[in-house]
Amino acid sequence: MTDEYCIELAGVEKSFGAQRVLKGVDLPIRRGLTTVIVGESGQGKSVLLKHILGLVRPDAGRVLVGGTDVARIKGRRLKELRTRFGVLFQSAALFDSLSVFENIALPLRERTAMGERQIHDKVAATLGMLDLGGSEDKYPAQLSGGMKKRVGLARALQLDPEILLFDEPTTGLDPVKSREVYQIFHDTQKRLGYTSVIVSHDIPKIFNLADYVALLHDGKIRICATSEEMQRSEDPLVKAFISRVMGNIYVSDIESRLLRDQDDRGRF
Amino acid sequence: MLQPIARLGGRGLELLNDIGRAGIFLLRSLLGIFMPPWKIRPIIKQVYVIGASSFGVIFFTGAFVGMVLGLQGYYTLRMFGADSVLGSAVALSLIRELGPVLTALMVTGRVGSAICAEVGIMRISEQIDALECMAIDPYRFLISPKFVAGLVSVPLLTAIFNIVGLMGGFLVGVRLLGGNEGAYIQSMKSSVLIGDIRMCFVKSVCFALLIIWICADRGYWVHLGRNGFGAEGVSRATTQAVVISSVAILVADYVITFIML
Ligand SMILES: Nc1ncnc2c1ncn2[C@@H]1O[C@H](COP(=O)(O)OP(=O)(O)OP(=O)(O)O)[C@@H](O)[C@H]1O
Ligand SMILES: [Mg+2]
Repeated sequence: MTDEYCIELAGVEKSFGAQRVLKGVDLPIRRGLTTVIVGESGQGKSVLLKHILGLVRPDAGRVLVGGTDVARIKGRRLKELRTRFGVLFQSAALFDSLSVFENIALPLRERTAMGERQIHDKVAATLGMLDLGGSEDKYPAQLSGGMKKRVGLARALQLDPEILLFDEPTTGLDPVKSREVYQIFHDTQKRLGYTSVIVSHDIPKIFNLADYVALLHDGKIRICATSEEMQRSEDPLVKAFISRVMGNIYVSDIESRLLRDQDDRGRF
Repeated sequence: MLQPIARLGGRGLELLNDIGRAGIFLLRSLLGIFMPPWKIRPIIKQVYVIGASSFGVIFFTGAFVGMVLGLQGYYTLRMFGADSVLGSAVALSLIRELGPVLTALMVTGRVGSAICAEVGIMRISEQIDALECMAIDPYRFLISPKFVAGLVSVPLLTAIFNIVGLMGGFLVGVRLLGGNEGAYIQSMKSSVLIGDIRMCFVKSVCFALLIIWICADRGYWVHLGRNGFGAEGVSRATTQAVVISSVAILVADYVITFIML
């Protein structure tokens, strides 16, 4: 494995009972770049992410993270590996007996020796960045779906991870908010240089953020290419997928033109 | 024809699996108590949840159990002209048996079910997975404080139960029915030995361990779907946890009494 790849999935297969979900996934993920996994609902994108995290073990194949096979380690070594990840679950998975502030502060309190003052400042800064100011004392049950997602994001970003795994970070956010989230990704990645893997349905907007796009179809990675290559692909299946999900292209075109008029700074 | 046997074998294996998993669960949770970072706040919170919030229930059950013992004891013993040993009868039944057992049963119903449901909901809503992904040991973070709090609270609640029960017995046997006050106290003092107190303490510690172990374990593995999935799985696991730990308390009570008496 060359240094260029941070995560490498090779021949990963996984079945749940009789249902074969992954049928030999090969996916190299390049260091320092953003790889977006797209695909229809129920194709196994979340399952794929859980393989990278070592939460699900493959029936066959290898999941290499920095040269270590996640599927073959456990206990302390797995824990060590996970210190490099920042994770946002599809369901956000906030701790529902902790307030928003405590949720975001948890990784800092448990994994660093930072003092309360520093933690407070750091969390407050993230809250401000994600437009969550004023909700620090609310509990997850009192938040909207989009707010939960943003709290989950804030929590994942706290420890400045090397690798970010995001399962649908912008689902449930309005277009303006999701554009802001993309901007935050873009800025923080430039600053911190992390590798990110994002599962998203937000096509075509996510294409602007992605360095590489991988299409998961029928248990395999059908194509993994840059957004432009993907959009120009001759593969009938890829073409069909693109045209299907871009059905609302006119809407988002108009929308983005409108917004470009208002504000020139945005890439999204 | 072989099917029932195969099913029985399958059940047996499943049970063995569950027991093994529960053993590892206990081990890792107890080890978690000694792993840094040590935080006092979660333990205090759990002591509040397990201990302080059960105080009222324990107080009332203790009082009424003591009172009924006084009532029954007074009339029964008087038939044999032995009402002077009422104090000893009440004290020994409370300290050796009823105190630890009833406290443990009340705590199971009051707290064990809540622990199982809480852990189970955290499991099915991926909160435990999230902890693992943040490289936070879920045993140390979630379960160990509950064990510490249980081991602190249950013996204390048992002591409260006993004291309130003794006073209840005194109230009914002496004040209400007019037994001899000096005889009640004297017989109590002379019959309760340090061994009885020790047995009471050992029992309450073992029961605390059993309650937290069984209830947290049932919640922790709820996603394996032994009892169905989702909210239904949690609710069934909770019922199961309360039943298993109540039975386990009574069995353990017999075993400990047998060994220590
Ligand atoms: N723990 C599990 N047990 C059994 N089947 C599962 C489990 N997890 C996922 N599956 C199955 O695997 C398939 C893929 O699920 P997954 O959640 O990865 O889909 P997805 O691509 O993330 O879809 P979406 O875009 O809707 O989130 C589904 O058919 C699902 O039923
Ligand atoms: Mg998914």
